[in-house]
Amino acid sequence: MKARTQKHTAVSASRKVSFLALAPLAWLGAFLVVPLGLILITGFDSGLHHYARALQPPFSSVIWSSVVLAVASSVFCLGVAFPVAWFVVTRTPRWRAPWLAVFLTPFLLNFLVRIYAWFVLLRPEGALARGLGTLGFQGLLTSSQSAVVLGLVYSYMPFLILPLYAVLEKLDWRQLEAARDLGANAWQQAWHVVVPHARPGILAGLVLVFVPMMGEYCVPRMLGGGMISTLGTQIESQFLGSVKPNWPFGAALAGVLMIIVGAALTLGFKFGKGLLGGRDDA
Amino acid sequence: MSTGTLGAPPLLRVCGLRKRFGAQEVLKGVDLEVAQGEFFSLLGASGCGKTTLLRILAGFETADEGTLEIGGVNATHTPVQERDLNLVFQNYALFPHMTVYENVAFGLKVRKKKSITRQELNTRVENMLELTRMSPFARRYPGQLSGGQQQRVALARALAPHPSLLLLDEPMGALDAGLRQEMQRELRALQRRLGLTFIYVTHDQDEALALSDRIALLHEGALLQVGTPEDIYARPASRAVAAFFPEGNVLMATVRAPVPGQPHVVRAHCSGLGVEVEATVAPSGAPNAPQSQNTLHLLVRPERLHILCKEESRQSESADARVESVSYLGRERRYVVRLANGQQVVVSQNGGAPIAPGEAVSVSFLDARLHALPAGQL
Amino acid sequence: MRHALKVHVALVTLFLYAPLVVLVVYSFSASRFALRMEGFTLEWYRRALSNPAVYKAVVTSFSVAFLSAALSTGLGTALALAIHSLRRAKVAGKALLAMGAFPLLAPEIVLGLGLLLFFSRFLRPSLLLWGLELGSFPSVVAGHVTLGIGYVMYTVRARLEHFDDAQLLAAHDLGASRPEAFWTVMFPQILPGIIAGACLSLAVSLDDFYVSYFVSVGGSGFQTLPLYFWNLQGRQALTPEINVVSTLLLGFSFLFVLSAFVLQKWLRAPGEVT
Repeated sequence: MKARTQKHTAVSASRKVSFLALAPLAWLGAFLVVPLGLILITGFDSGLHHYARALQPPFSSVIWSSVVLAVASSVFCLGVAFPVAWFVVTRTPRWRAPWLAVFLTPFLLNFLVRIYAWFVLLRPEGALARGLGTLGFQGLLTSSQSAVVLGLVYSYMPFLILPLYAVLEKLDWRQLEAARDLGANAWQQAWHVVVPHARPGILAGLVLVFVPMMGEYCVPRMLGGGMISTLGTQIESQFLGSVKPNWPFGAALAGVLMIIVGAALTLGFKFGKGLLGGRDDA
Repeated sequence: MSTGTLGAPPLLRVCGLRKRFGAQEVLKGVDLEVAQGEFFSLLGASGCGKTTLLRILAGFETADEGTLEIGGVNATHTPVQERDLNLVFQNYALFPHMTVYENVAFGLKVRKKKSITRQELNTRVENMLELTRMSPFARRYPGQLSGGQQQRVALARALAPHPSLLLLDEPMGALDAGLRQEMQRELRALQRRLGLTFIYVTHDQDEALALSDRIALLHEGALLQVGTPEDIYARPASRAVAAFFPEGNVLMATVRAPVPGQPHVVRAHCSGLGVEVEATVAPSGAPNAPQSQNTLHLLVRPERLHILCKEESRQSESADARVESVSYLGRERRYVVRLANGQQVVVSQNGGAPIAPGEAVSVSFLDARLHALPAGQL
Repeated sequence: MRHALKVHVALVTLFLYAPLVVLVVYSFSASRFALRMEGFTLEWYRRALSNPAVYKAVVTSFSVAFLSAALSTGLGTALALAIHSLRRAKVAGKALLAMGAFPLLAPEIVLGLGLLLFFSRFLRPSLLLWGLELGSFPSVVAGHVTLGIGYVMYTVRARLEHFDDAQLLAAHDLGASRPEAFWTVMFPQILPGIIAGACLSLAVSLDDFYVSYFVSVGGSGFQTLPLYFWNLQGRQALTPEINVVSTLLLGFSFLFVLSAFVLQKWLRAPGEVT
């Protein structure tokens, strides 16, 4: 009798719901945790050898240039996205969603197609390159480095626009009015009011674009013209390359990638509170 | 007005209820009886255990010890959905995806064993909406209603299954002051009309006084006093009860002599006012009246004191004092007055010419007999 | 400053749409080469649409997408509900949340790689029974479900954050049993989140390249549409067929996110406070 009635009280009911976690837990255990563990195990299959190799030239410079590329692209992305987010937030409320849609719609399209579209535009004999060439910007966008940066920015911009929009939307406009009242000009308002307010969104957004950029393989492969070697392309060729694949070494490179990404995410969680993991439950 | 203990067996009887959350004992053995048709309030500050008590009554929590009887039947282990009572939640907990009508009908639809026809259901729901004056809003969703309207829907929803007992968990908490008074009147009228038993949880002492037939004052998991609003307010059983209503003046008095024929009444001399008064002692019915020379603590509410300007005073039974400050509260003026012996008392007075701070006044009691707080308690 | 902002927005819009316009335009090019624009023809559409390989890839993509969306919707909803009920047990809840969120946050290449190792080396003999081998339908579905769970978890959690648990108590109090309370009170309110999550995981599956790519290494010609596309663009001579396939892919993703948006609007109760 007692056991039966307790089943009906809501408190014990909510406790019992946790059995629901079993199915997803089993799934994620099998198809996420074990595979990730395998990357680590494979990378360490002959001690630290593969990791040591990954951290020496020439691979150390590949890692370094990948980080530089991802950081540069993230910052460039911020420069493009911040004014866009600001523009959307400063529209009247009923026009915000449509404007947001304007900037996000292209990202609904398959990302390979998006990169391919730039490939079509950027090829050396294409109209864009020729146009830029006649303007005196020979090779400005078609050089492999800048093409990859452009492709990365193009691919991951929504991950920055959305968190920026989310924080900027919560800006208390009276703060700007107060700043103006106290004599701040537009730049001073932006620097002293808007940027500090948006900092968590900026950091979260930067991490959200930096992380996938770090692991990117398709963009450097399609737009780099075979000239750009990144962590992503290295990992891919260690596993699937036609010349001398080396799985344990590839796994070690993936381990390095996971460490860099983990560090970035930790920073993001710490400073971009509430924007990476949804709202933290109190 | 029923006092709950006489006549018919009580509708609700709670015996020795205890509840502990970890190391904290939230209910320390609560005994209660509520009579059929009573408006009964559980009053207490937040954290006193009143919400836990209510949740045990509703069946959301189980008590560690003690029993619970509803209508003479042991309901200690009755599942929530089979208890013959309903709850009006603090923030109403209306179902936002259902219309007002569907919300009210919910309790009737899910109780399949009391199967009622579609037509009965419609009539019942419509009656409830009529009763709470929500008929025009039947097709609206809770999100489209004002706070007061939402409260009415919550009430209608809880009343629709015809429970014999209605629990209300601070239902006015989310309403602003003006609306709150209106809803209080409505609620009281509704309860009278239906003859239903209400158990009303609140931390608002004025609300409890205004609405209740009886009040149970809960403090740190134990009942301090159960009684009518007057009992609680004017004849508190302890200092703690008295302190629950702010601005009670406590004046010292010395017992002079018992009053013949009245075992719990003594004559005493109040040193602060320098007058002799009658005082009731041991309201709980303790047999021994205080001895001569014992000190009494007399409780005098601000509105039971009277002040007059010195010149106008002709009364002999009054004491000299000086006004220290005045605040005008609309309906009344509240004076802080310093007595000759240095004690400060609060006097509230409606009407009469205002008296300026610094003026000399005379203070007197309005009541012939005062209430003495039990000795030894603080 | 205001004009600078407008110019910037105009340039960004151009930056976003120009490549896509070019792509669509090129898909109608009469040239035999993908990267040349001459005249107008629907010939490449006719060829692409009558190409059995394209047809097969489309069918594969949609089968994988629907199956994995169905699975990840169930699992993701269960995960969100479990996290919701574990709010008090912070560590357990956070651990589940982190697991669900990982595939969303980490580079997809990591998950793809892990699954490659998993299917090729680890449990190979025992898993072969269920067809969980590289380049097979079940393996790709397994990968896509793992991706999709996180999305469903997020959309359902977003709904649960607005759900007041007192409603469940109210339902019990009014006489509802536990299943009744769940299906009549909680489920209708989280349904929009479940549907949005289903649409998102469908779109994610249709869009996915990395996981499918790594998991179908060395497989027996198993190709989703993005894989087919990848193989097309990897060729030496690009024919305009690739532009057509791009335009088709473009349409698919668009359709699903759009329907997710519409459904969520449609399912929202009119009086709901959002």
